[in-house]
Amino acid sequence: MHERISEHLETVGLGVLLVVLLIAYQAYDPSLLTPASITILSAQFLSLILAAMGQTTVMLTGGIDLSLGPVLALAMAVFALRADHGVVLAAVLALLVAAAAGAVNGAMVAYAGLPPIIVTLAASFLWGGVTLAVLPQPGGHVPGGLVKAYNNGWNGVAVPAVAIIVVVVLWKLGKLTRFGTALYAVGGNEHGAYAGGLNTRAIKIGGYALAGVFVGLAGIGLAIQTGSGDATIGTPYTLNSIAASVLGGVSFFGGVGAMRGTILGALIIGLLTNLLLFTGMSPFYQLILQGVILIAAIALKTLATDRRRTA
Amino acid sequence: MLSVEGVCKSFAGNRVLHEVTFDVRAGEVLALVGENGAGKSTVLSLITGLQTPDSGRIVLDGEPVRAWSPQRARSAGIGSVHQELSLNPHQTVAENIFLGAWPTRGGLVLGRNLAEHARPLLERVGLDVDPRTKAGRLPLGQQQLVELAKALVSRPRLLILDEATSALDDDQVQAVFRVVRELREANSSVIMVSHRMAELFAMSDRLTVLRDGQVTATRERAETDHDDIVRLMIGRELSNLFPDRPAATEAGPRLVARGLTVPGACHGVDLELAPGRIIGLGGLQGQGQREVLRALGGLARHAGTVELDGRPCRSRSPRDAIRRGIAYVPEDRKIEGVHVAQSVRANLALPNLRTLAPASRLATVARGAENRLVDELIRRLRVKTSSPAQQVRRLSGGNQQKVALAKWLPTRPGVLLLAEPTRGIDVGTKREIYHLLRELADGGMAVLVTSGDTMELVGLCDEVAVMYEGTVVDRLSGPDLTEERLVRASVTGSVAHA
Amino acid sequence: MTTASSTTARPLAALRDNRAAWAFGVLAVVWIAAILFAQGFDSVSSFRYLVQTASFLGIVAIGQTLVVMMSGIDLSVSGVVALSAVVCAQTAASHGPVAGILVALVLSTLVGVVNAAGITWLRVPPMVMTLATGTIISGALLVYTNGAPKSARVGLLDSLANGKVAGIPLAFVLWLVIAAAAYWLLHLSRTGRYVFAVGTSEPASRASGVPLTATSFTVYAVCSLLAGVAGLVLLGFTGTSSLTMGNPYQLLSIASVVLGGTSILGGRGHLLGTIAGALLLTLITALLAAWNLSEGIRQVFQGLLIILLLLAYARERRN
Repeated sequence: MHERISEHLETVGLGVLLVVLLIAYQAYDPSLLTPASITILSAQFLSLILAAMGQTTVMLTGGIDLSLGPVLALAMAVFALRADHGVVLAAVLALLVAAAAGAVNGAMVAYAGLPPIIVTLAASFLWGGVTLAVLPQPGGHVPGGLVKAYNNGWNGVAVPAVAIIVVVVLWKLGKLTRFGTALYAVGGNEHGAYAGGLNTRAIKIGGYALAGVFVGLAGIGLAIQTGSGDATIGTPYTLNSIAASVLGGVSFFGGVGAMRGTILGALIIGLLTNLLLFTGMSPFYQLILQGVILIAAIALKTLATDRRRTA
Repeated sequence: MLSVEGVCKSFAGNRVLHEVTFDVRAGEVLALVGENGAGKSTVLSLITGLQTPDSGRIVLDGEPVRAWSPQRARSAGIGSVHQELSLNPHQTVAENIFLGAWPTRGGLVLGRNLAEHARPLLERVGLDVDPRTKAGRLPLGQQQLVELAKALVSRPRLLILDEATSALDDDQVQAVFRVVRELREANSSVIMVSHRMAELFAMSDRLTVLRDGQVTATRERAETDHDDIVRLMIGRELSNLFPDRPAATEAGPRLVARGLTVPGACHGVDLELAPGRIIGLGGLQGQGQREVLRALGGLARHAGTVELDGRPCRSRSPRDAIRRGIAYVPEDRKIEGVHVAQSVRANLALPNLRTLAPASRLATVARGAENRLVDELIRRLRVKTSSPAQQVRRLSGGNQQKVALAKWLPTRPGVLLLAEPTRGIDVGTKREIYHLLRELADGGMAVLVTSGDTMELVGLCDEVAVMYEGTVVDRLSGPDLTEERLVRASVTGSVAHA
Repeated sequence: MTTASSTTARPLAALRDNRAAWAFGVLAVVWIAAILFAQGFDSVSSFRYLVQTASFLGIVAIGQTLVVMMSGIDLSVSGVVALSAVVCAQTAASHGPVAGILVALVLSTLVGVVNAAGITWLRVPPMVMTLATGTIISGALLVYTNGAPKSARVGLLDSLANGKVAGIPLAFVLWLVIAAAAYWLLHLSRTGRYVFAVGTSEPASRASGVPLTATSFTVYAVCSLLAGVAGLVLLGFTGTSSLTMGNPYQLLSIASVVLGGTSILGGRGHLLGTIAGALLLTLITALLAAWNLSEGIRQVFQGLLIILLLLAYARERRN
């Protein structure tokens, strides 16, 4: 029982931090908890949340994805270019491309014996280049009705928030399948999983492909939010997704971490950025504070975990 | 049922197995014995599909196996438990047990459902733990039993136990034996590897002996004895395993610990280490012996007073301890004891770089002096390595342990701390290490050893402090230092009166 | 039995395992191919230009090699390159070139010290720590320059970046001198042994009494200092400073290290390999530029080539 409590302590800590942020936010923007506000915020945060979920999936297998930003931009570009010819088809196409890019990353990690950080570093050039080739200049177009429904709500429903909830529920179910359990098994002790007869390669490739789906969804969301595509817009998502995952308690060494932590981490990063804008501080200071807060949050967590372990 | 026929295997030009042939019959327990580096683990990894032989074949039920892999081996009914744990510490016991074959309900792997399926298996291996505990939270012995339960999931026709009892206490070993007997009665087969000779003789039907990658003999248990097997293993008679003890010296203590306490591990431990004496720390597994050593070696935060040559000394880091002449040879050899991925040379030079690269040379390493030092240590401890450039990973366990110990000698430590100095090491190397330790003590070192092997403590030490639940409950020396009294004190946790 | 050296007994096997040598071999092949099959790679001036431009990346990559060897990573080098150039340009304008250079180098080194402090004392993973300091630097530069950094011709740096001695670009000479010093530090000195030991296994190094903190501070400080030096040379080369001028060096410095045969996991490799790695990357970039491909296709080729080269000789051995 003690184990259960200490395990949730981390989530509770993040939750408390989030509530504090929300209270501060409410002070600046009393309309925070109105449907309109929720729609705007969820539209703004959806991409980071989904990108972070993708990063977490890769990190659970013991990897890391430095090509996340370019793949996100690739999905965004594909969707924006095709959306006028049918939104559903465009979305499917964008997701397929992103999943394929993820699977290629995964195959190189699984078969080539190259460390994930190096594979995805090289792949970031590759996918970045493909995106630029597909969409050399910012462009493409997403139908206005969709953009409006996404950013302003559809019959009072916060579409992005609903989308996030649906994805999270699907993940919760997916995690309970044999594949989901195997993902954690491979990440926690790859050799043990291999010796125990798991097809570790296939599982890893599957994990990277699944991450590609999350990232593809994030890219589609970003395209709908902005109404068009931009090949270079994905870059900050690579590092922010890592930051959100690490903040949420996902280990660099694989096998440890839960999506709820990652989502909280992404929300905290997003809210904090907005909050800094509210304070009227020069946007130039934002980056500084973001960095400081990232260090402080992770240092605090590491030290707290250590204390618990030695106690 | 399964036979290994003329199998050869080399790694990077080193021949590990040569024309190895033996078989396991249905319903028998076969013991595979040999010194470290004799090739036992390699043979087993060929059977379990982790490696493929260079030549020769594995024949299962009369058919040579093809495209062998861990997956295939497992589905062909071969289960295995290894010394090195394959558990995922972050998943639950139940999730670990059913690795890859998780029972589902409605397509989902549900914790409660999994736990229900796991309980009978845990019962079978005599383990009373909640199947939903994270595997990493269990003590080593219990983890090993989880491994056994995991191997039983696929109802193996052949179970491989590779040092599967190395971290178990007596009750747990009995639980393993019970499982082995059940399997034998069900006409399944078992291959056992263990350094505990008594266990092999208690359980096996036949013993196959490996030496230097070749099978030297296979004997029926009834037709052989301990000495015969040891002779086959090392190719010679092994006499005086333990060195003679010198007459007690009158030297004053070098290191005195009073009320040594490591929160959660040990409390109020008093110890006196004197030059020329080998002190042992005995007791059951995990009674705080390890933390006493780690505290003295600067690796664990502690309270209490420690005096070195009459002056107070508190080691906050291994560097502190080393500067004061306290050297520590850790229990986790491959993690802390040596740098497995570095060369023998780099390992041996590392603690001695202050002398090899002095400030007077602008901290540039003197290659000549380094090579001389390394050659000298390799020769003195008879480290079997193809060259000083050889990776320590490629050495046998015994030779790795020699490196872990040898690297400290040039620092001329006054106090030498060793945790489980011979765990998983063959008897020939054990003998060498015992004699070396005595030699070092005779040269003026104060030595402190922990060990789970009572025979070792009794044979080697001048005095043994027995620990129970974190504190010293008895001290045995001279005629009182017998295996019987040591075991009694370990188990009861009270002073044993003869 | 114990004295026979396997490295001399099996020279071919040793060469096969020597990835730094591979890096130089691949570099030679690519270079010869470039001279034979591509336009404009056969002149002395093109050679000169190539080694000169490779120096900027090369100097950063040498610092990165030290960090990677210790199984760390420094993502803040891009920020430090910009920091050094921007601060030097700004300070030199008011206080003279020497003050500018000194302030830039001291600040750069300080970043390394902060990185090491966060990594060793706060135990923030290197990737996150250096990422965060990099972000902080970007923000600080925005605040400091109000978004508009100055251009400045600093005579001293101009001649360092563009000057020649005996026909050899000074920047290249500087790179080689730095490489020689780093070679001593990593392969001949006590600190270097500690770096390899920590890169191989931190717990074993701690138990062996390796000064983890001191080693970490030295390595991260040197890495940042070198990124600062690269920033200064770049400032001299272009005469302008910008907030994004360091960006290419973040990933390319790591790629140079790995293409140079150093294991990203630490503990294995050779400093000199990184020189080949940096030259190779610069050469590939120049080749792709010479083919007049679009930006996107160029990046695709760059990514594919890096992956192919890594597959050829930088695979991690499975244990």
